[in-house]
Amino acid sequence: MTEEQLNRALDLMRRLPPQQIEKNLSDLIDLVPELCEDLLSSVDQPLKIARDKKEGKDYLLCDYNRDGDSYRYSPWSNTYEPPLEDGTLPTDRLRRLEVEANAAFDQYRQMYFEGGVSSVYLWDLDHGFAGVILIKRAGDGARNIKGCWDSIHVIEVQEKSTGRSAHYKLTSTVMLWLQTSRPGSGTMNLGGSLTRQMEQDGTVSEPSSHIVNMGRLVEDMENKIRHTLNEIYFGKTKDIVNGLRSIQPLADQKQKQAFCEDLANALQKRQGKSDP
Amino acid sequence: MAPDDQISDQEKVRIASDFIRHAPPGEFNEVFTDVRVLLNNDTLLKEGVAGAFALYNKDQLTPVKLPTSSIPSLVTEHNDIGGGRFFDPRSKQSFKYDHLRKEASDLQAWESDSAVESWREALESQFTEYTANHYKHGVCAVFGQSRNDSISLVACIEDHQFQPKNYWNGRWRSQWCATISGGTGELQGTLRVQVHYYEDGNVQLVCSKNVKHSLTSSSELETAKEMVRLIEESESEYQLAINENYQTMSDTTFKALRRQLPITRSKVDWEKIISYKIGKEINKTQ
Repeated sequence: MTEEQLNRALDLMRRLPPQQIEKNLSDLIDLVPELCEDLLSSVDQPLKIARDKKEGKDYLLCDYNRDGDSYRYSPWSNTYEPPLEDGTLPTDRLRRLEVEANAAFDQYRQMYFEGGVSSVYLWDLDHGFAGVILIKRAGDGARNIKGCWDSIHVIEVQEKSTGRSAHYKLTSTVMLWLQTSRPGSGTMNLGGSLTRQMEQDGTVSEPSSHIVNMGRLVEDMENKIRHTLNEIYFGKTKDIVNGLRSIQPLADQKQKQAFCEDLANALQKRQGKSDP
Repeated sequence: MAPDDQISDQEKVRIASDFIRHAPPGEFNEVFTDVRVLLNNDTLLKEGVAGAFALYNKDQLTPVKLPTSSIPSLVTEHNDIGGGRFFDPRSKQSFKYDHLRKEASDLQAWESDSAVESWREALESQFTEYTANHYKHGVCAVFGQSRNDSISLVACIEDHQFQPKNYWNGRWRSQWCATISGGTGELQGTLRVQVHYYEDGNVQLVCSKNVKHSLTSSSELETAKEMVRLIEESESEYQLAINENYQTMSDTTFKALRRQLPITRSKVDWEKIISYKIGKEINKTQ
């Protein structure tokens, strides 16, 4: 029963307005408390920003860096806030990779997003490791439009026994939120997310190779998703709206169409006559 | 929250009803089934949540085919006469409406309010022509009510496109209320658009706008024409404004969130990024 309930819960989250994800998820957990952990780990929520007061830096919160009610922050201090005695931490070798990954993706973020916050968290697996790369970029509210981009890239790295190559599996969700309130158009809220998956092999000559391989995969994925977001948000949904109502009177359009058909027929007849 | 910490039945009903009422256009059945399985209590569903089905259908201005009429009507709060029955002023009938099956039955004759009928019919005629002219599959309905010194008219339009095979659905709803007393009146409109796209994701457009106009009324026909003129103007202006927003959102807001490529016009050189870090590490150990 619980597996069917989880499937139904996920189906519901794909249908309810994403603008209320947090409220919907909270209500869902209240309704079916047995699904709490499963839901928190499978439903993507907009990323929250927290502040590392010691380092004076921001970091991002999601379910992957949560343990109980505490969140771990990285790369700045690798501890839990609020403090957690037995909190899961990466092994030393993974922690070194995590520090490097945060620095690398910080630069990636600056080059593409020119602002925002990024965080990378890694955790050990049996034959490799997994991680999440998070990016949050809020707009500046120019032209009276509020916008926000959230990237959640979950990567699984299976290291081959030779240690010379690895298999990378990436599942990415990008959330895009746009809202405006203006006299002419009232309130307009266009938001939600798209999810894609990609996988690829990569050569590993040193630990840092993982960062190169993951970086390229994430970059390609984000560029693809950005393109699709553009098409769906500003193409598809707009076309649907304009298909619901026609600004031009439909009677006019029917007349125009009839006129075009008459013209085409007349041209055809004329061509028929002039052929030998 | 521990699994033993169950919320009250009342809270469960509140949550289930909220979910139902937020089903995107065209997806009521799917949301209903999801909620039914999650609530796992058909008695509670039937007793506590059934009210939400009716509220949802009325809020959506749900079109309804009448077996005895070629022109469909709408299920709204304005033609709800209680006991699960609604009236269709166009064909002068009332019907029982099944909120789950979305079907009308038990058609009976229904008497209109004679004091307002001439106004209502005049508006219905103009409004129906307007709807056919701008909404390919639009359904409209006009309701009238007389009070002591004033009359009120409500005109609604609904149009939708459901394409679940292509993972999208959309609906437009217009609701215009006019109150006329003496030679003047007020026209108030609420326009709503909702689109849901859900192939490998969940993207929704939710729009609404309120409009107000003042009216001068003379004859039934002239008033009706004036109302429709204002409605056409407002709705087209709204649609244009939505399109303009789309343009600004894509040209300005979206571009400012993430570039297509870095300013160098080429993808990131990841080898360079990590080699810089390695260089730093080597320098540290010296």
